[in-house]
Amino acid sequence: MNIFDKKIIVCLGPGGVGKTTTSVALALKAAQEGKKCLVMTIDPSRRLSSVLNIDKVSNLEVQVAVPSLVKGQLWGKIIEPETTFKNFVLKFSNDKEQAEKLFKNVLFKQLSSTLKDSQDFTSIEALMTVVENKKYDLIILDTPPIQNLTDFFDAPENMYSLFNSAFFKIIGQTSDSQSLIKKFIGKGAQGALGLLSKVTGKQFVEELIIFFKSIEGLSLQIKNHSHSVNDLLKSKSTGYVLVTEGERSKLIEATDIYDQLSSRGYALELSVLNRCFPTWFNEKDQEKIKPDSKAFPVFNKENTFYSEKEKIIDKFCQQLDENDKVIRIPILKEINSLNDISSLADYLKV
Amino acid sequence: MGLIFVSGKGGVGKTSFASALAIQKAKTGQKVLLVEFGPKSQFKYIFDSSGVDSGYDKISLPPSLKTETWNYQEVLVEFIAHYLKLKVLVKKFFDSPLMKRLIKVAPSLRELVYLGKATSQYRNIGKQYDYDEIIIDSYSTGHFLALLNSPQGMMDAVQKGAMHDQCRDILKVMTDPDKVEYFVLCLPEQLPVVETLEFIETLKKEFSITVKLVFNKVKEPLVKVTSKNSFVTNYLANTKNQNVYIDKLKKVQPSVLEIPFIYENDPAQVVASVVNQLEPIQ
Repeated sequence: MNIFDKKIIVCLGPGGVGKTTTSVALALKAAQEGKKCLVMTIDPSRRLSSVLNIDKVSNLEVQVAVPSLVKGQLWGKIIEPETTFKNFVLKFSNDKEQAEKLFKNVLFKQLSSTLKDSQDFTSIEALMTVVENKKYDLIILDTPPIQNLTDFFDAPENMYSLFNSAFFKIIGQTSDSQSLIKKFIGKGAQGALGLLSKVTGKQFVEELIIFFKSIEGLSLQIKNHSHSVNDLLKSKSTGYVLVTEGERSKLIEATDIYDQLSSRGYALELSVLNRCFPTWFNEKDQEKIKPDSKAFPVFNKENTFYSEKEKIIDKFCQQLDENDKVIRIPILKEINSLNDISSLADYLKV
Repeated sequence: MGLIFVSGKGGVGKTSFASALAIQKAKTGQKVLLVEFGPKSQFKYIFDSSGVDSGYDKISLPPSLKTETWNYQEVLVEFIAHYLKLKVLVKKFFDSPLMKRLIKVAPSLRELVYLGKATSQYRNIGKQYDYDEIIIDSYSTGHFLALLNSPQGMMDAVQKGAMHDQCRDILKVMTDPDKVEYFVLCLPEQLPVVETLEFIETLKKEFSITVKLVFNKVKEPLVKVTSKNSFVTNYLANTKNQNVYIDKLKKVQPSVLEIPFIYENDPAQVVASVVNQLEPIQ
């Protein structure tokens, strides 16, 4: 099966390996193959978003102008965490009033405005929204840098469990917020919330109780939603691409992500190794540099360095399953235009 | 005592630089603690204290240098224990299903407790360390700002009480130039330079923090070379603009340290070579 016949491609990898650029190059390649493709990213470099011309329109899907030879369409979207989270709540609240009440809660404000730090959750949630709209043949999700794959895959579950009914078993379903506050942080209260008030002060715990009261009732729908997220991530029509760099420490991290992916049973479609060797490395005109030339000492250092590096990369590739497709990308020039992305896309023959 | 944070865009060599700086300072007789944020450890590929066999040589820790990999759960327990004092209460707190869930989603709590631990010496909290320098191999730029924003974030959510006061003190330490130094690493390439300029500007504007800038992986110039082949053309094209970028940052940043490209593939060898580069300037 061609990778571009998937419905969703998730790009994973260590930080600082060109994951976003690779995601966009994959999307461009898909568009060249005639697909209507959306690429989503949460924290793009300014340069990349200005190359795509999507820098001023957070959280909107924007069509990117591509050369007329490209048969399909390329769309881009910068995920904006705060809006994504608000939309998430709006989707599940029964009435607007309940949602508005929640938006005013100090804790909610804090949760949504600092969500840029829990990018895993917002990335997946943003993915769910565009999947439901069914506008695209293919959606490519560029993930935030991850240390641990579990953090990424468990992020939605962690967030949903906040909204889960188990909370209401603890704080009780019937009482109003004021009597709950008395019960849990009044004189002699011994429970966890009483302890929490020792850490954070009473005011915070009061806010917390009001917060839980205002999300009461959202839990069932969110539970169903949580199942569909899991189904989607495991689905056969979702493929994973591992992006890394030919540097030793990045390869070690990549091995770890690879192992976690396999143990979860997710299908790795492709590994992309960026910046493996300079473009001159495979050229045949190197004998032109004579040992007495001024350039020779530097050439020799570079050549030895990249030859050693190639062996390290070979070793990495050997540990992968022999059916896994690996693409080694040379060190390309910096991305300043769609043309530069296109030269990266040319290497992604899949 | 001094506290040093090392940051910079992903992949610029933060861990190598932080490790080299720690070794260099330890060599001069200072007691140094080198810290990374867990759960994953990079230090285990550099230093031989871990017993992990990575298939290549590692560096023996000098006697006055210790490394630590901080683990979120453990640091969080320490943090909460400061308020609840009694072990039995701490256990009750963490056993509560409600707390378990809150902790998992509380935004920036991880960042906050790491900062709490890093600055605890200055706030006379917890076990007092016996180090001259604590060097923290920290997050890359975007995440680093989240780290610095975490105390204010918690202060906005918790508007009174012990936690609020503690966050205020953490922020005070972090923005005190007599206590904390910041090293920001950058590559002499166009995009990293643009992003670094933005990063140091944000640090200055929002936190009044000034940084020490380090250009890493600077390649030597190839002068008076007349022969033309793909190597020479490519190398000249790549190095041509290096000085332009370095000068650009020097305009806003008077002290800039340059570290050459190290032609080594082993992380430990890279660190050893960077140590030699640091010696003359310290």
